[in-house]
Amino acid sequence: MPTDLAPLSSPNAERQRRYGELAIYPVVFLALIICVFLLNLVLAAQSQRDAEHVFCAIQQQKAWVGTRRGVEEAQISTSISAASQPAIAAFTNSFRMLDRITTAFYNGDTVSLDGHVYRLDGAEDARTRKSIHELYRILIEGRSIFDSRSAPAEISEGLNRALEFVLTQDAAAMSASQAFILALGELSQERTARLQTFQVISLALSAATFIAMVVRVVYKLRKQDKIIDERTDELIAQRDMLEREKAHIERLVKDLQTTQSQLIQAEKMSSLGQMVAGLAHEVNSPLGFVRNNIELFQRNYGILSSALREHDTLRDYLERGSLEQLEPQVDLAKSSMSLIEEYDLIGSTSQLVSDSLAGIDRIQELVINLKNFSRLDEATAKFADINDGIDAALVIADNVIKHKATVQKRYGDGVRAQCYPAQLNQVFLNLLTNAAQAIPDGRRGTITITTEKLDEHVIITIADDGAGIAPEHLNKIFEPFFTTKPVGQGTGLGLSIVYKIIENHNGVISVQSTLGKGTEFTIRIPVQRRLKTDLFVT
Amino acid sequence: MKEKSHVLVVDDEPMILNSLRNLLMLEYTVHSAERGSEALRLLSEYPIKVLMTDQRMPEMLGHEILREAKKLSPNTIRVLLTGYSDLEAIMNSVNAGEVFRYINKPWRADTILSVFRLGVKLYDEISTLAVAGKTNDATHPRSVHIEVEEKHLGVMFVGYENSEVQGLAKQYGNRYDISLAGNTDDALKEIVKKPISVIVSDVRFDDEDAISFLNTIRAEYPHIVTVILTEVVDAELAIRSINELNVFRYLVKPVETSEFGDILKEASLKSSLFKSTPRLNIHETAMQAARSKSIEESTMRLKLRAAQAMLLKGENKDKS
Repeated sequence: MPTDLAPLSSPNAERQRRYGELAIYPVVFLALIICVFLLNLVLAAQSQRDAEHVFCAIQQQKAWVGTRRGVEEAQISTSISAASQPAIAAFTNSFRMLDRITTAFYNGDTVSLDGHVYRLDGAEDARTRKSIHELYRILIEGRSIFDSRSAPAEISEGLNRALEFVLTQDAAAMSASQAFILALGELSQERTARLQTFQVISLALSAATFIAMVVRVVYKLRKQDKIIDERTDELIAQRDMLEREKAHIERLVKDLQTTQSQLIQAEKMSSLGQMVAGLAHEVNSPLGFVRNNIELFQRNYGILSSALREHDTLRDYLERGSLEQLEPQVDLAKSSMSLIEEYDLIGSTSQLVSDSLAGIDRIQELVINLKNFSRLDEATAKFADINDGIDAALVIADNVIKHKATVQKRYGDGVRAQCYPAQLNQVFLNLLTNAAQAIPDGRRGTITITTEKLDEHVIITIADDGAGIAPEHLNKIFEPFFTTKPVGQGTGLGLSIVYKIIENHNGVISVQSTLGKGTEFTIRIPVQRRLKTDLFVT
Repeated sequence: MKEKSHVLVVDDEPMILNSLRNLLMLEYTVHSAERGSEALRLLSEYPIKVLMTDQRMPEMLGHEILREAKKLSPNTIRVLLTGYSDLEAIMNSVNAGEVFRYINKPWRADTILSVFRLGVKLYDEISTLAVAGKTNDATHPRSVHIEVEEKHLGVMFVGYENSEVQGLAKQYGNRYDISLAGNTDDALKEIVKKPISVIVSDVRFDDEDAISFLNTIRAEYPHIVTVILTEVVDAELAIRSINELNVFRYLVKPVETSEFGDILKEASLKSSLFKSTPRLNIHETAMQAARSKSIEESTMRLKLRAAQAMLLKGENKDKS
């Protein structure tokens, strides 16, 4: 499977880089929004102060108007000789207020009006400065008039001067005051306009940021989508591939299982074939001489019976006493005996018959063995004599063993176990055949078979003094398909089947081998089989 | 009374030896051995005419005994008797020319008797020839060798594809007159037209029996030496090719060209020897005696006769 995952080796760093950029947008956006908000606050504060300034300016104007009216009323009161004191007090108060407000405007100080304290800026702008200076000049002038009155006698004179002052200055004061208020308004408007401009710019910037963010996020999302799509496609492709691979592997496994079972079958067939070939030889030898002996018996029977006939005739002549026939008949009887005597046909025929019987017995033994050997009707394990099984395998393997090795049996007594005898026979045949094959050509080896009962186990050892197994092969010999034989000469399944059979008997098989010294297989199976299958289906 | 011929039987089974001794003792002086070394000792001690041995035996396998016997007593007729068709042993014994007959266990008494009679007869014949001081086999081939080079002997391949033979034909074309017959019919037609010394044949024909085909040819042209070259490795075929055909070699494809060249050389040598001295063709003499009448009437035989007749007619026309 292709692995192009290398660039993603540090996915976190990659992701941080990708999303860090996106994080900048909201930060900038928020900063701009905050900026607008602060500007708003500043603007509100500024507006309030501007309103206060205007309010104070209006109060100033009112104070002037109040002063002028007070002076006029006081003059009227004086002229009609009415009490002029309240009027005087009123315009004095108005003037004082005017004084306070104007001074505060002029110096940039605080002023208290009706309990509220207003903080006023000094007139910094040229336009307001001009007006406030004018007003301040009028105030200074006014102060000398209003503060200088002291005695009531002088009141009327003072009032006259005040009246003159207010009347002469009224136009100037009113216009200055008006101009001042206008200038304040203008200034306020200018400032508001400036702040609003900032606000608009900020808003525009934030909007731009927002749009940029949106665009960027959308772009990113699309890109991400594309990547996700690609990844998804890739994943789907990989999944499909995996599924195909899975199907392929399943098919392979199935094939392998089929092949394996075929090979196991082949191994069985090959051991069967080997067995049959061996048996053919074993049977054909006795069959050969038995058949021949019977033919010889037939031949000898002819010779013997003709001799009997001649002798019978001889006896007949003797009984009848016909001497002239007797003499030639004696010669005939004699010559009929010549072959029989020369070749001891009587003795040899008897020998042939007993040989034939022995041959027939051998064939019978082989057939019984063969029948016992691969009993196919065995469905359940039964108690069987292990030594008998080994003997049966020895008979079958005889044609392989007899020319290569001498067999030494060291059988124990009562070596019986609950087993599948046919299966165990296959094990013995396999191990015995292997043992014989391990003995190099041109040397007569020894195969030693030992059986004993130990505790509740049967222990069987089959040892040869053959070539031995290389240490690197020793732990592989029970693996299926492992073979050191040339290709085509062994399936490599023999010992794996042996292993399986012993395992099936709850037994163990082990091997010890030294190169050049020989190999020893040890099998240990319990006398009593553990119940392996449950009574009931669970 | 005439001195009885000496024969030797070898088997590791005493009852078989006893049985065979009983069978043969009326006609021959029977020696028996249970193992190879003993057999070879007896062989050097007595003038053994026929040696019959089992194949599977301890120490020495049957064909190994025969190989040694060939060195010790080359004129002794060698027979293999076995209960097991050991293909390897058969091939070995064919190709080393060690075996005269291959007999399977269980055997028939008259088979053994006839093989022994034939064997003894052959032994006597060969010995007479040897006594006559003539070159008795291909051990002195030099004089004939030159003949081979000059004669440009005919070699016929039967049952192969053109492409299979072409390379060989190129290589040996100057030495032999090589022809190719795709099937047995063509082969029969070809064989009456020109002299053939060696037949190299497959044994896989669609519905013909290869051995009887080759046997038909051998019956008519006894000097032709047969080489089987095939993919089919079959014990029964191999045994028949020994017993019925006296095949010169049974080769399994593919074969080395150089080795094949040597075999061709030997085979053609043998053929010219048989042609010049038919009495040397001892196996053929034996075959003719043993050959069944059935060949006489076989379709194969009739085909051959037909081909001969055709050719004869053609020749007559040419003459007239």
